[in-house]
Amino acid sequence: MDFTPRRVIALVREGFRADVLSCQTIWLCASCYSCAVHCPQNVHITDLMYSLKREAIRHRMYPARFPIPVLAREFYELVRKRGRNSEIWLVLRMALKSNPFILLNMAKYGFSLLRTGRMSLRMERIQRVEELPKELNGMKEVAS
Amino acid sequence: MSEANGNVRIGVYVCHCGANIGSIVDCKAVAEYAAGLAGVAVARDYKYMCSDPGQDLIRQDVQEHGLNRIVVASCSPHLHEHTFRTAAGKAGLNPYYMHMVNIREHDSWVHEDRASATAKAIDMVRAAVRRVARHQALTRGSVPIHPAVLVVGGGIAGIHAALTLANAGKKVYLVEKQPSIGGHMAMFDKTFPTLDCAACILTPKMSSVKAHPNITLWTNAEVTKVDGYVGNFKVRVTRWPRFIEEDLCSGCLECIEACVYKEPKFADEFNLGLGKRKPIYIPFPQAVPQVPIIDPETCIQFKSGKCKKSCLAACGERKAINFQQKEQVEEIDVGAVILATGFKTFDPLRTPYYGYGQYPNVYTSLEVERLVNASGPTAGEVVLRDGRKPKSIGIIHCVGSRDVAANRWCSRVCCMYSLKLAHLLKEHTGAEVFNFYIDMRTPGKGFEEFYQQLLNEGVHFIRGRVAEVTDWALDPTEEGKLVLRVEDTLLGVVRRIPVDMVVLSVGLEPQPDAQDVRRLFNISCATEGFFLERHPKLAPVNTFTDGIFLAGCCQGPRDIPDTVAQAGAAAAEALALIDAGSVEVEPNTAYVLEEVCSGCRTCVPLCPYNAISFDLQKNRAQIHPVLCKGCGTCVAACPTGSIRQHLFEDEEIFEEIEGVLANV
Amino acid sequence: MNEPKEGNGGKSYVYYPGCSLSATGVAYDESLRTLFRLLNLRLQELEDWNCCGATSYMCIDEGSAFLLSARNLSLAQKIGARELVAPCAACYLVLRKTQDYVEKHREIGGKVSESLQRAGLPPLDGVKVRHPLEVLYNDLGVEKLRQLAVRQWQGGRIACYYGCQAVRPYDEVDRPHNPMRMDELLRAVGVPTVDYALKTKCCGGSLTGTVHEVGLRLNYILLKEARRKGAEAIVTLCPLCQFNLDVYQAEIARQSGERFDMPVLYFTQVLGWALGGDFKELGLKRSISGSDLIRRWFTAKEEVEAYV
Repeated sequence: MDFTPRRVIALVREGFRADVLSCQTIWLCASCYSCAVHCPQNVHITDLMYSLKREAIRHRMYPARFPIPVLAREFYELVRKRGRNSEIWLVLRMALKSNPFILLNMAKYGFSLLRTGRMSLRMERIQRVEELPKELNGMKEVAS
Repeated sequence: MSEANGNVRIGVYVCHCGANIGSIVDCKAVAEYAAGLAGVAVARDYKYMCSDPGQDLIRQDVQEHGLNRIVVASCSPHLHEHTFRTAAGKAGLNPYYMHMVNIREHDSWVHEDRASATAKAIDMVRAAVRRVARHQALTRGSVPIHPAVLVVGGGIAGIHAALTLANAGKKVYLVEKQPSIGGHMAMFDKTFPTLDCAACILTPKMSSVKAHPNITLWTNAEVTKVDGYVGNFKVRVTRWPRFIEEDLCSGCLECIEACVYKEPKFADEFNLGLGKRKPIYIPFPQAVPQVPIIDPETCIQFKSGKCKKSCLAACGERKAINFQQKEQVEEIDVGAVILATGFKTFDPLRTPYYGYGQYPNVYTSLEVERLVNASGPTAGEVVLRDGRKPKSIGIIHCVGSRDVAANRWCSRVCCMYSLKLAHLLKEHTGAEVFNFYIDMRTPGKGFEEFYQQLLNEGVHFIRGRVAEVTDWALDPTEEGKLVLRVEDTLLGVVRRIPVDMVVLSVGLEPQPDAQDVRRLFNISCATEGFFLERHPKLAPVNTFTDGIFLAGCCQGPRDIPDTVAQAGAAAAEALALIDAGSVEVEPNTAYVLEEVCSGCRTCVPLCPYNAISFDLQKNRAQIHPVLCKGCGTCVAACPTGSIRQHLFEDEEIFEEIEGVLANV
Repeated sequence: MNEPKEGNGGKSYVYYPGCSLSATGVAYDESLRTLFRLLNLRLQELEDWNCCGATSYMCIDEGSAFLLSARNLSLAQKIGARELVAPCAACYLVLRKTQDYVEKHREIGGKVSESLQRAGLPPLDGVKVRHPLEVLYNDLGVEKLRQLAVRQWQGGRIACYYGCQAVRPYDEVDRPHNPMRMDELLRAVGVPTVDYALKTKCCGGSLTGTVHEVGLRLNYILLKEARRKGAEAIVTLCPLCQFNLDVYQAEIARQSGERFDMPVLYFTQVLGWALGGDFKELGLKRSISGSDLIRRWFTAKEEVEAYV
């Protein structure tokens, strides 16, 4: 984490857009909500982090091939079309589009997962795909 | 008797109030309109009606134009009704021939559109003109003030107020819930910023209270009923039994020594459970009155009836111990009441991430005051619950304050007492001390200098709100310690600070029974739960109930100098009331038309002020004009319409309604 | 509209497994079904459920995220269910947040209704999202569980790990600071649990896959502290937490030079075992770390007397 959440908020408040949208913090945020639960001013910090992630993706302000936004994008594409996530395929696509060396590391785990029956090679999908929401509906950001 | 319109000559004054009214309402136009109304002899607009020249205007017009009614369209009657009534009186008119219309709070301050606001002001003035024509001459009543004062609460606020009043020659009743006076201040060790010993400066005042011929001191007592009104309060005080006769006790304390419990066994309330006491005990050595108290929950004689009662033997000839002592009820008459019921500290169980109650070596600031105090449970040695002496201490500011999940306000004293505790703890233990703060609030006299002193003493100041107190150890140096995790915002990094002892600087809250107390005295609490003052700037010790005053933290968090100042102010207000000898009573009271009253008694139980009684011989309801507050409930409820109200007669109200709706 | 059918006398719950419970988290699905069967509670899987979107969808588009997860709530509504049980903590949070935001923010509620209508699905009407931990604690109760246990615990002490999203920001599953419901349920069937200050510290979630070093460090901390407090195994309620703590232990051990081989189990596996469940049925062979201990602790001797 390069900027603490407090600094991220201060930067946002004072308009340091480029610094905030290209920092690591907003990506490392794992949505654990510890910050939001603690905040004495009831700032919805986690929602703010999501908002900044979306803004960064929208303006492509992250390092090329940085795994986290790539993962988000691949997840989105998979689920949007099929309604379900297929873990192995997701990891494959994410790795190929960001850092293929991840796969090397993952390979050794692949065997253990296969052995214990925890790896599924099926491409999952729901039956009634037509019921999924169609396009990015462009809903205005909810003021958090 | 209302006069026919032909005889009234009304003066209408429309105030600009600088730009407050004038910038939204076209005052000139309103005055011009008013000039055309029936009965209006003079209509003016003026910049500041409440000023001397403004009031003079009324006086001159009354003389020159023979006015006999006044309408002032300006601000809230709360502010200046008295001013203009007095002005009318000085001009030779009955004050109740003046009627005020609020075109500021009700008009210019809440609307933005000039045209509509002006039209509304015109409607309101027209209504007022029609109404005032029906006004009758009224006279204010006067009630004598009983020259005694009740002070509720025996902390430093109550003590100071009581002494001030007693020294002025007034009779004071000081009622305190605990067995001894002294309040929270008696628990402190040293006070900021001078590091005066709290007990040393407090106990002389406590003794003065006991010794003062004008003060009747009742401890272990509570106010249980309040009736009456300003100048004439009837109060019932219940003195709970301490099972020792105060008049007979000599304060030798041999009964405590002789108790069959050789060692104290029960959690000591004054030491917040850090020490122990016997079933017969005195809260602290300098207690006033210097009389022990027996706790029936833990005393063997009370629980089983079969105790040796060595305390009785020790008391001997004095025979002061009385297991049969019953509660005693005192009924007193006072003219004024000062509430000085104090505060409670925030309970840090509500902020569980600081580990209070979970880890033994997490303390509240109040507990630490007892630890460092020479007359505390550890004789001033800072010894932790597990017996260790701390080599590192973390003091966390703002616990329970400035937090939407706890209390939103700043408790005002915690930064200063945290600095004080840092100094005392360092002095007592030589430990490394860390203060964790969000902002450093040191506004008072000598406060910033005190902070400088602490900076020079080598205390660490870390700006950051502690996220948690945890026993999670990342490496061997953290084993057995409590780790404080915090973002040091000045350094810009997240830090782990392992300490032996954690002190939580808890905030101040209203007492848990504040709502009960306020109901008893018929005052209000603000949203946070502290007692509500009449005006936060101009009347901080008055309440909306005449004759009831506030002093100290029961009104809001503050330190000792401010508390003492406020207690003096409350005493002065009470003195002003008493020395005036009598208080005027507003004449907007309800009255019964006997010839119309049917004796149904519907009104009698409705009165919130118990002002209505029933005359059995005449079979008619009667309203006591001094008790009546003019709320209007009985007026509305009376099925035969036999109850009327001065200043709110039917004709007056109907004229006002017709005036407002004239253009509809 | 068909109502969820009642089981043989027991209560019935509509069940939302989530994507990971058919792959990396399959042991959770197996043990949950087994446990509920042993408790005579019926689980009816929501037909044609879709992915909740987890954290990723929310990173791309907030509106779509709510629309996606709302379909599941609507499907539950369609079959007349008032509750939906989601064992995966991330699914639980996303669904619960959707339920909350649709009620609280009219704009979101409106768009969701429109989208559901276009899909021919009913609008949301207060379907409640629940987690099995809280279902067991509230609907069954600690006492009832204690009475139903048939096996004595042969294993070591456990650190109960709650993770983040089940207890924050909503506190219906358990309170966010020092939650104890999992501990209480385990203790009720005789399993000793330890004090564990890190029970709600984040395991990193998907960071182990994307920024591997960060993820590893977070899990190293969790494993090390559990052991320092005297635990021999960790029990959790989230499939991603289980994955992170279970799968990377060998690598963590290599990097830190410290030994790590702790079983990481689901609370449903431990409770299921206490109630007489079968080793395979409870997915106990699916664990990667601590398999020796697992084999030793979960060997069925002849049934001991009912644990009273």
